[in-house]
This record gives sequence, structure tokens and C-alpha cells, in this order.
Amino acid sequence: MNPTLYNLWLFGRTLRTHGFSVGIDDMQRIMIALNLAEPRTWKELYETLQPCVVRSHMEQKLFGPLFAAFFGLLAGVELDEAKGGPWLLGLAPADPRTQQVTWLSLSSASRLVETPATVFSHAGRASQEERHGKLRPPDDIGQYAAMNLLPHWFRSPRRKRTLRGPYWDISKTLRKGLEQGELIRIWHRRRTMRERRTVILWDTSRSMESITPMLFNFLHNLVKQRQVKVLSFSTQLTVVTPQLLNSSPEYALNALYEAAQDIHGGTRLQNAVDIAVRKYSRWLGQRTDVILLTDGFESGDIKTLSASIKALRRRCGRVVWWNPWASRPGYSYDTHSGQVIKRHVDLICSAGNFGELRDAWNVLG
Amino acid sequence: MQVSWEKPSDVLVDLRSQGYLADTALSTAVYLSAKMNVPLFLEGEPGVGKTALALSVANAVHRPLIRLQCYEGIDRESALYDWNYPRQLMHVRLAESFGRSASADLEDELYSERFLIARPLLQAIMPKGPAPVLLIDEIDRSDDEFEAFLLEVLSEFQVTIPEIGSIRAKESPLVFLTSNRTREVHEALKRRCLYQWLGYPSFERELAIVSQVSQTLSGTLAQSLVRLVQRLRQEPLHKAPGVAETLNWARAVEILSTTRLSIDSVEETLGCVLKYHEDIERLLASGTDGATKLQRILTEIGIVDESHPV
Repeated sequence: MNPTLYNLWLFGRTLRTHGFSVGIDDMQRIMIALNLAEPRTWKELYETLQPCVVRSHMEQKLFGPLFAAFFGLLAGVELDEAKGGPWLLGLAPADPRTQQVTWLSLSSASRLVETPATVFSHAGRASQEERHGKLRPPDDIGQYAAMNLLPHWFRSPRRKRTLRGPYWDISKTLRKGLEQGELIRIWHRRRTMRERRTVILWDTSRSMESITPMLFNFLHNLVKQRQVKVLSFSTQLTVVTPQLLNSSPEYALNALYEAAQDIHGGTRLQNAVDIAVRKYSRWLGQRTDVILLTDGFESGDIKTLSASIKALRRRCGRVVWWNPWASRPGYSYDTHSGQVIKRHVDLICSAGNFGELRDAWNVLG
Repeated sequence: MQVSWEKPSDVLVDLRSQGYLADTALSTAVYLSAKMNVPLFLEGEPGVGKTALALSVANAVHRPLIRLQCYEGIDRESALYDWNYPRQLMHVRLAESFGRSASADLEDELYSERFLIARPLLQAIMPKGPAPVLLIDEIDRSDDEFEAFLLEVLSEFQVTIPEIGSIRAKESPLVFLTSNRTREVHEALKRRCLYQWLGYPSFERELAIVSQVSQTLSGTLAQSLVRLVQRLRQEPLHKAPGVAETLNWARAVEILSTTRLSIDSVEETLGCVLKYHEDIERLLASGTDGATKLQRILTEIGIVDESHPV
């Protein structure tokens, strides 16, 4: 392997760890493009590589800083594209979970390899060695389970005094009286702290494919710990809380796939919000927070998205947007639907990895 | 496609001669697309010059442009080929009047190229002259089934008509696909293309475009127009104005013989730039100080003097 090819291969792998789907075909295409365009400057090299590996606007934004960091380090020069960017000091350490091959941990995945529910959504991004070799991500199910997710409290309503006197807690008074053998004190109702309910609208569309495994693991742990209702949506809205409540992640995953037939489909956010407001209004209220766990790409009609989110906002305490890409360098809210959601939500949190998800949850408490 | 370009800068020069001011990234992508026979997938906001690029390239390489406008529900028949049923019927009746009965020969005649109506994709694969430039416009409007159908066409430049057989392009056409990103196009289709994002141009490039198209417009007026459009793009609008809107506005100002931008002239012609009632309302709504948002923007960028409020 000559040095150029080696460096390009290394660059391809770097891109892959950051979510680009770079395959052998793309590397061959790059070699042909380099022979044709014969780039002589960094800018020309950038302009030659970029159309061959970039597939979306988001990747286009990420490509510049990555290119500058990689080739800047390689050549020992500071490239223009990196100025002011967070990548100037070198490549960010690769997140080991981005190379994750299956949805589940090593121990679970080995048992499940034959079942249809084992989704290899990262398989296209993992190399042959990663897929078949011994190098696998650590078994981190235990780590997720130990994640401390704080409850979100609210104070119970104030009990007004009645005209005839204070509001008695009759059951408590009787209970205490029976314990002590005689009625020596009358107990009154007190305001207590109760847990807020949270409804999560979980986007399982194709654009979220790369992080859906991580979100599955997070939500699987969250529903066991806290008062949460999870509704998954892609082209249709499905209640998946009972499925996620399965103690075994394998069963939960199988059940999820059986319940939600539209995973990895298009995104119909407006439709999902409308149905949530109309059909699941019993879960909504001023003591309920609604979390939109989506990247904000809407593939359906966005004309009434604004009105739908406003309607949702009126019916619940807070609407929070957990955006998986918000912490990515160079990310901005470009899409129309993204801008609409941003305008109407109370809070936006980045939710691109476990740490961010935990912080995003705890900040609501 | 056989083109005379030797290096990416040749594309830049040719496009400039057609009145299209591209940057080097775009010219490199067009050059690679032509030389590698790979379609170029252009994505960007409406009005940034995706369709105009295909037109300009076709003119630059002196090839015909074949355009396939995608829409929801577009199918194989509308895009590829259809049989000319009235003509086939007439042919059968004529054959009957000459005493010919229905036979295998007659059936073969009916399903021959004579009765085939070539739609844009077939026209591009089986052109009458040199290979054309094929523009598949707004692919994001079409359905998933149509995208899947395009996979065969774009990877092999070959189509299969059951009655005739496979037809392969002798010379690959130069293909441009455009998308306004109203939905994500499938990865499989993108893999077969080179990708280029067309964003809004910088102030200097947009000024050069306006000056080239509206040559009678004074330099100061063109600068004011472009500066205002660039500033409007920073506002949270439903639809930020594209280059097409800037050019329309420049033409409108030319027709109205406006010599200098004022708050009145901007308000009168605001419909050329903003296409949503809510956006116009937002700009014309009065704030707490009595001035509209538009007035504040005009003051901020120095078109309206702050010491002489309107």
C-alpha cells in the first residue's frame, strides 16, 4: 500500500467514525477523482474529496473541520478551514460507541445474532474486522443500568381549609389511632412532592438510524426507573412503553420491532404530534413534560407543524427538544421544520451520547 | 460524456461565459461528474441556482438539455416510455382493412420502436444526436418507488423494455439531480452520485451575479439590494430569499427605474423577495419604539439614515 492510499484509507476510517458511510467504492472513486483533477493545493484536494464522500448537508458541514484537522496534522500545517473550530487541537477522540456493531452488548448480541430484531444499523460503517473480529465494544449494559436518572418532582396541590375547619386526613388519623390504641391527634393533609410524568416522542426514522441503538438502551433503562411514557414515531405513532418495560433488552427489542412496524421509515413529526395531542391527551396536562427526541427533519407536510407544536405546548407543562446533533460542531438549525420546533419549545438539550442524555434528563428535575 | 475540459478551471471559464458564476468547489464537482460519468446530486435551498447550473452546463458543452420534473406520484411510464395506444389501434384497423388477421407478426409490429413514446429518461439514453445533459429536477418530490427505479438507470445508464429488450446508452449523458431537501433522499441513490451542496452565495459573489444579470443597475443600488438580501437571510423567515429572488428584485427595481432604495420602494417591492405572508407581516409589524422591523434593518445596514427617520 503506497503512502497516499494509506493516508486516504486512514482518512476514510476517520470519517466513518464520525458517521460518514464511506465504503470501498467511495475510496475507489476518490482515487479516480484524484487522478482526474490532479489537485495541487489543499483547497483543490478538499474540493476533489468532498463531492466523493459527502452525502448530506450535515456531513458537508462536518467535512471541512475534519479535513482540516486530519490533513493539517498529517502535514504539520494549520489549514484555513480549522480556524476557530473545535478541531484545531487535533482530532477529537473517537467515540467507541460509534463503531458499535449491534444494538446490544456483546453478551446479548451473541445470543441474538440469528434473530431479525438484531439490527445492524452500524454495520455499514463498521469495517470487516470490526464486524467479525474480536474487537468489540465493552459490555456496557451494567453501566446503563447504574445510570442515576433523577425524578422530576412537583408539589401536590394545596389543600384549602374547609368552612368547617382544616382538611382532615381521615385515613391517616384512623391508622395512627389504631396503631396507638386511642385517638390522640387529628392529622391533616399536607402537600407532598410527587413525580412529574414525562411523555417522550421518540423519532425512529431513518435519519436517526445511527443513534437509535443508543437511544433504545437509554429509554429501556429510563422507563424502568421513572414515570415515563414512550411513543415511537416514524410514519405512525406507536406506544412502546410496555415493550420497553421488558426486563430483558433482547425481549424488549423483539417486542419493539413487533409493535412498531415503521422503524427506519420517513419522519412524520407533524402527524405524530397531532395524534399525540388528539389520542393521548389523557397523558398530557400541566404536570406533564413532553420531550421531542428527534433531529427535526420532517419529511411530511410542514405547513401546520407550527400550529401542531403550539397545540401540544398549550396542553402540557413544558415541551423540550432533545436534539442528538445539537452538540456537533458546525450544526445549525437550517431546516424549516427545525426552525419551527426551535421557535416553540421551552428548552433545547443536546442528546448525542449517554452523558448528554443523562444531563438532559436531570436538568428537567 | 466526452467533454473538452482539461481541468476544473475550464468548467469555471465555460460557465462564466454562459453567465453562471460558480465557485471552484462547484466547478470541480461538475468536472469530476462529467469525466467519471457519475451523476451529480445538487442539494440546496430553493432559488440558489441548481436548475440554472444544468442549463448553463448544457449550453456550455453545446448539448441539448432534457429535463424531467419530478412530482408526487411520478411513475415509470411518465419518466421512461409509454406505448402510443391510439396509433397502435389505428395500425390494427388498417391491417384488418387490408385483410390481415391478428398474428404474431402484427403483434411484433405493434410493439416496435415505431409505437414507442420516449419520455425524458429514454430520450437521454437513446438520443437522436449526441448524448444530452439530463436534469432530474426536485427528486425529493418523487416517491420511494421512483427512486428505486432510478437506481438501475443511473448506475448502468441502461433500461429494460420487456417487449424490446435492454437499451444501453452509447454515450453516458451528463446527469444532474436536484433536491430542495424537503425530505432525505435514500442513501442508495446518493451513493451513485457525487454530492454538492449549494448554499447562499457570499456578498461579493451575489453582487457579481446581480451586476452581470442587471447591467443597467447602478453599482450603489446593486450593493444596497444585495446587502439587504444578505441581512434578510439572517432573520428567522419561513423562506429566506434565494439568488433567484435577488435577481427578480433587481429586475423589478430596474423596471421601476428606482435610483435609490428607500423604505417606500422596499415595501412596494417586498413581494419579489419574500413569498410568505407571515414573513412580510413580521417585517412590517411595528415594535415598541414605533419603527417596523424592516425600518430597523434598513437603518442598521445604512440604507436609511438614522438621523432622518421615515
